[in-house]
Amino acid sequence: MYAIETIGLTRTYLRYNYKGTHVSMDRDDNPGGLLLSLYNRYFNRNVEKEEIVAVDDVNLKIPQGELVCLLGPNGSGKTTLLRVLATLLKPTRGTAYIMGHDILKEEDDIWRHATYIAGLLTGGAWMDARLTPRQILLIQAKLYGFPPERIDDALKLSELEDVADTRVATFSTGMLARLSAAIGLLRDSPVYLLDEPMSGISKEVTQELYTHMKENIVRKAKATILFATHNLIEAERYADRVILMHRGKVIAQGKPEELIMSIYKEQSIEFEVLNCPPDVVKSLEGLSGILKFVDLGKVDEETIRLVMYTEDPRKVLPKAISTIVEGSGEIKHVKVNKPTLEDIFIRVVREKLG
Amino acid sequence: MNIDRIRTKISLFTANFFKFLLFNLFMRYYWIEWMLPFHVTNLMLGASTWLFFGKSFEGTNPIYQQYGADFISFLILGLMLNSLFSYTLDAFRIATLFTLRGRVGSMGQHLSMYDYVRLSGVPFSAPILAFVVDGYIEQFITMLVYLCVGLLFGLKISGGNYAVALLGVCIGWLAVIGIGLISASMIMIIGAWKGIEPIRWLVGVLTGLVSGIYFPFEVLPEGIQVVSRILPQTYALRVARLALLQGLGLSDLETDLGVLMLMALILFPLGVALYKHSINLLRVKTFVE
Repeated sequence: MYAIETIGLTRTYLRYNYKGTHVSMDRDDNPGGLLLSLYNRYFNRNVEKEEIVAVDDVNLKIPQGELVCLLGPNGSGKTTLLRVLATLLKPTRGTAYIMGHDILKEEDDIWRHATYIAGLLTGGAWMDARLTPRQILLIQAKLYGFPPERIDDALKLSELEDVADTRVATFSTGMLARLSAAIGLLRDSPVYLLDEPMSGISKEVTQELYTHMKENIVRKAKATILFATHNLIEAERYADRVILMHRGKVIAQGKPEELIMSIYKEQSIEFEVLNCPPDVVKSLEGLSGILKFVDLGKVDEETIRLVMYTEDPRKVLPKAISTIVEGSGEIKHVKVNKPTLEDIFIRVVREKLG
Repeated sequence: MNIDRIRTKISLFTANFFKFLLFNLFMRYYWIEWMLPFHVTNLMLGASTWLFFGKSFEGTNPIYQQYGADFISFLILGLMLNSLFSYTLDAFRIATLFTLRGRVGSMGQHLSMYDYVRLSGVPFSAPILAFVVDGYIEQFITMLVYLCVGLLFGLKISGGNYAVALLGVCIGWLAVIGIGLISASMIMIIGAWKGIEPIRWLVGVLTGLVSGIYFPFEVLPEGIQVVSRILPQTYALRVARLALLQGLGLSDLETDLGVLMLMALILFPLGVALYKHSINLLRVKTFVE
């Protein structure tokens, strides 16, 4: 059973484009607002109805116990997809399953199995600053009928044991975010849906939280986290798997390294060589495994810069170094440039969508 | 749905209903402190104006004979029930708008009320009913003020048939709740979250003229009385007045009560069904459309 499975999931919105129409009357506080709005929608020829496809035929299979990143620029459909999975929106077509429960037919099971948090900081909606983490979790446990013994486990996994009886009002941002996640742990949620979880959180705390999520929620509690972000570094550094979205479509998915290697096969090796004889440059160009060789010319009087592109830098690099050293050249600087998720994203978007 | 789930739903509803109700009551404290004295004064002066106006031609029209020729009591009962029914027409629509536009959170971190309710499994009815119940407190205060003013002016209901009057009011209330729910469902069905909601507006405008709040609807021309007869308020007011002022019983009022019951049986389930559909539409249309 997959933690999350989507089948042809599509979500569209209707948008009304007011072309040259004076719309200032069409306001909430205007008594005629409704009539004007209805007129604009159904009779006004200057208003165009447009269907926006926010999520377009998305098919995903996410196994249990993974930290999965939904990566894409603003407007790519990440938030809509998460809100559909959390049953806050209905899909226009298709369906999805959370831990085997249909989001259309078993809505009541979804909030038990999935914890949706729109930014870890918004978890404050479940908290009262005057209470302590233990009291907040106790209220949740009583409300939802969870065994109170689970509170200690949730506090321990959230690394809030030491401050369990301290008022939440004194907490730092990172602690508040961990407490948000602790509510999900108390619920024993097998699936977490996090929308831009680190929005408004500093780099240091972001790192701490991702490490915490990966170690405690994913590895120890065996839960699945699907988090949406447009931050490529976060995705590459922390995610077990990345799903690239663009204009509502999933354009690529896989483990970050595999994704990079499968799409962007070549890597570049950059050399700065002192006193490099011309015949050594020729030898380097002829090395096996090199797809493309570029001589960038002189950096200064005695130093030249060379770039070679290869699919297998592990084989090419030692051969290139020995060729230079044997030819009495002196390596001043060497660097292997690995493609990043950003390169992948740009290439995939160009190739698939133009 | 197993027993545990039903129990959880009930506990979530109860806890959240009282949480929202307490919050609303707490907010109402300011209303009580700052607004209530002025509100009561306005009501007393307004009711007195009507009553002096009535006194000037009391008993001159034979149409009041069927109501015991007591215009003061006739009018006071009309004003009291009008407060109840007018609020009922608005209650669910306003509660829904407040809930959909409300936010929940602490320390500057908020979720929309709708997201909060759905994500926490809280029944949507909890905040809605808390808001509605809270609003009725104001209406009951208003009704009490009218009653006191009426007693000052000589309201006579001591020989009335209270049970039948209460039955008529309750059935009428149920029917008006139905209209209120239909009106509330228009928020999502036709996008009536802006401006005037047409159903409530139409019923509200007609009620004032034709349902017999201020004068018996029998004085209206026959053609307009047709409109009176399609409003549940007309029957509820008539039953309450005849039962309280003339002491009429079930057998005397069976036709009015029968029509009222029929209206309630149609309007209430229709209102509930449309309202449920409109809440479901929230996840389909959203406020974007």
